[in-house]
Amino acid sequence: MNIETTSIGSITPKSLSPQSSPKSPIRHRKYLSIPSSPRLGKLPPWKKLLYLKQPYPDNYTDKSFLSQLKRNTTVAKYSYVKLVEDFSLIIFYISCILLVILIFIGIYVHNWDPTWFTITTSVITFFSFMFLSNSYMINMKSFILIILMLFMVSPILESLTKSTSSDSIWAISFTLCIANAVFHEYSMSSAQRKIKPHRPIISTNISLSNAIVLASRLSSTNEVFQFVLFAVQINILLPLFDAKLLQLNYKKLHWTIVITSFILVDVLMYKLLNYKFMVYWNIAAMGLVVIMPGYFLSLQRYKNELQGPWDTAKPILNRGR
Amino acid sequence: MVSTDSPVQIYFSNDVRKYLNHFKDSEKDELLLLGYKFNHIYIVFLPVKQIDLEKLPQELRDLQIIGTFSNTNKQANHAYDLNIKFDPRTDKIPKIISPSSSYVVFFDPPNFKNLEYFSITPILLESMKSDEEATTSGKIDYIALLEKWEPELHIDDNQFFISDDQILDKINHLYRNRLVFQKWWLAESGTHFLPSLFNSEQLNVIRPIKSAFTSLLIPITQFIQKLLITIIKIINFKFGKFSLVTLSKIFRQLDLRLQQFNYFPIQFLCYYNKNLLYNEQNGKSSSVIDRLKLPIFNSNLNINNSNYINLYNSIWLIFNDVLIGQAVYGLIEENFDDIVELIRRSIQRYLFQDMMELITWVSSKHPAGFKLNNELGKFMGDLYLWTLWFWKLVEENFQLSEPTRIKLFIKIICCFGGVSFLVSFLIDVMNVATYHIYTFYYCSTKIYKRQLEVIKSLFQLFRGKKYNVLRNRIDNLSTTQVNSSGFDFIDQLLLGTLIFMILILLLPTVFAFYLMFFLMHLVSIMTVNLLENIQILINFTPLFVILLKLKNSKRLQGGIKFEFLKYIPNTTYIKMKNKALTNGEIFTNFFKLFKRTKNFRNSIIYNFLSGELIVIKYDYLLKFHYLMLPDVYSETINVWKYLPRN
Repeated sequence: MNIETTSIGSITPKSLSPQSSPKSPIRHRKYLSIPSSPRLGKLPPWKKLLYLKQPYPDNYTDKSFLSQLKRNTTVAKYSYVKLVEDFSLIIFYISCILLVILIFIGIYVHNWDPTWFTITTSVITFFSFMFLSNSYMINMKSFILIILMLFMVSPILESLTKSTSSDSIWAISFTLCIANAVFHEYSMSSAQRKIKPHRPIISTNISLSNAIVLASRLSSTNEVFQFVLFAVQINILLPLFDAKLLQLNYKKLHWTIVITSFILVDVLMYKLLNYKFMVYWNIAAMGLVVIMPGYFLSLQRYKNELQGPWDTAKPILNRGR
Repeated sequence: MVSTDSPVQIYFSNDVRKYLNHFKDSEKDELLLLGYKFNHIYIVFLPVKQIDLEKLPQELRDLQIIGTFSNTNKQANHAYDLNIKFDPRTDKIPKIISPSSSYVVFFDPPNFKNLEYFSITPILLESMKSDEEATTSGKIDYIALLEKWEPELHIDDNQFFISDDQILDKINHLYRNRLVFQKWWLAESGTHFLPSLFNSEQLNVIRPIKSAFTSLLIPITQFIQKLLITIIKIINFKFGKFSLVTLSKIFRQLDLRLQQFNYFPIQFLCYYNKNLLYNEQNGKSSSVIDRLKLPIFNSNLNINNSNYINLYNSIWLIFNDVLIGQAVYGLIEENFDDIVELIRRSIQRYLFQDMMELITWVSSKHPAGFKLNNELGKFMGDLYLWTLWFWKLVEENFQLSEPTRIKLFIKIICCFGGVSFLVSFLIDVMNVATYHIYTFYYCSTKIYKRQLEVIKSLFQLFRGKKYNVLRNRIDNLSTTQVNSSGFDFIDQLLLGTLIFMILILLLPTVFAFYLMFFLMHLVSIMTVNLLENIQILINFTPLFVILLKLKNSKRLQGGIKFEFLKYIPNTTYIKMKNKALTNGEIFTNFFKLFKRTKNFRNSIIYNFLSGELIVIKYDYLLKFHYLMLPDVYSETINVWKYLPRN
């Protein structure tokens, strides 16, 4: 009886051949092929049952062994369009981050007044809360809490890093933004979201730290409060809102928001910085959204996942019922 | 009968030769050896012509005739075990004719009156109780386990060793027993055994003087002891959490000194009359030890000797102390005004003005180029400065207003107590003068520590995890939140992150203040440490022990050593000598005293970084154990009851 067929654990292609059996070589050489001893005549067909005593040696591999081999059954099949949609989420989040930075540049360098930004975004947030969930009272409460907290703390925030030189602040902010983009949860499908709910904790915290660090450069308490509030709304609440939209399948609204933010970034880049940045940004975004999925798909052909009757059986649990 | 496999050991004292010289030549041919026999070990006592063993006094009952002693090579007399041939004029060492293979050990008989004796375990002059307790109160008693699983050695029950108490005892008491023997011989036979060695007339004259003296002295000593005990009780009395002893160093030194005085009579008596200490009849230590709870961990003779040594060491050190104190006071008296002026000026300058400058520097002027938060720095700096002004006002009203009273006080403590009291006084003054530094340090440490703790716990939140107190592990936040709508957790998270960022960015400022006060506090602690070291040096140096070692090292028993002399077929000759306590052993406990009675160095850096307070941890009992003072000092009065009327 060939014990290897019922061993636990996946087998790499190398160990499929009978030559790599760990049994003693002497015994192994004797039973390399199907024994057809003329004395016994034709042997009964080999069955994959342990409780039968069959006249085959222990390391016998049947012809039908590889017939049950399956290749790449658990590999997900991607479609190009779906990939483009999912990759656009990355662009969306990065554009949110860039929005915050650009507005900061506007306030800090060009002395824009942050008041009307903040009021607009607060009103929009307010309405989007009402639109989104039934129990909007609870969300309203947390939103008002956030506003009040920031209001209380902003005098402290204002003088927090006053004596630090600006260069270190820009360096800290840069690092935090990169970390923010890296640690965010770009969840792809709704099926995965049931297992692990969408809670980007680390990136939320990092976005807030970034906002605080930048805000401490501003000169008046009001400005600090408004900027941080704005940053929280754009960087934290907006992606969450968007994820909720996707969950509830409001595709059109989702796409309008994504494209609006992208265009806003373009406009602001053109106004505040050089047009070159805008060009770089567009190229990078297009490349990410168009080329990367194609590259990803082309890499799928290298997947070589083998499964067979030798793997552990997955129990099928009856849920509910 | 001798068991054939254990070697025969013959202990032969070096002065037997001297006894032999007193016999006439004709008698030397056939002498009997008087001695002790323990299975296969023989101790030679004296050579005699004939003796009636029945009539020996009580203490010498163990003696028996163990062999014969001859001058010539006469054939062995088989009635006795040993047969030794020794001609003191020609032979250097005795020749053992029978038994056939034996070891002969030579030794100088220890003069018991001078407290010389042989001891296997070294004498324990000071006891570091925490040492012994630490080894036996460990969680797993490894020694007991080892003994349980150790393979059994086959030791013959009948076999004796020199480390057995009986044998060593007999050897040690050789000198004294010989005197008793001679006295008995005189009484029995009317002749002196050895004329030149024994004179009994002296005692008759001294005795009446002694008894008159003692009957006068004992009540006086008892009265003084009562007085001392009440004073010690008063000093140690606890009202609330404090007692005079814990508040001031002078009182602690006074406590130590008075307990030493209190214990002197017992030490003296124990040395003088050793029955007090251990009842030889019962074999165990007497109730005196139990009632006093002396920290003794070795037995019998060693206690006696160590009491003697400790007594005279203490007396000498106290005497030194008082002399040095008087000399120092003379110096102080000459320059008193200058000293007062110096102290006043330095307190003003170092403790106040410099501190104010330092605090202002740290709070607002970018100390050492570090950019600290100005608002917070100013706020904390103002806090400390205001308190400093207030303290300065208090100090000015308090200090040095009446130099004459202080002068009188110093005179009393120096001339009656000694320089160690002066040092304690200095320590007290330092503690009071730098009290404000200690409070500032305490305050800034608490702030720093709290801030650090909050930062640590909020950092877990930052990462998205939470510390689960029940399970003592770190959990993911997503498992602890119940909701599914996805927005509720935002406000908690944001609040946590806000506070975290604020605390992190304010940490350098707090740390700067903490570092500054830490350094100041460290300097003041190190000064106190130095003064305490001087005090230990004055109070506990084993001067007497060193001198004793130079003078007569046989009185400092550190063990026995054997030296090989020569080997003649069938007999091995070994010499046994007392091994004196090495300098290392003498000073080991003394050096340990420096580190263990006051300790602030355990993991200074770790405590500094994590915000733990660094103070001097005192172990006061160790000093008492070092001097072998009793735990229950009030029982010392009762020792007079145990004194037999002599």
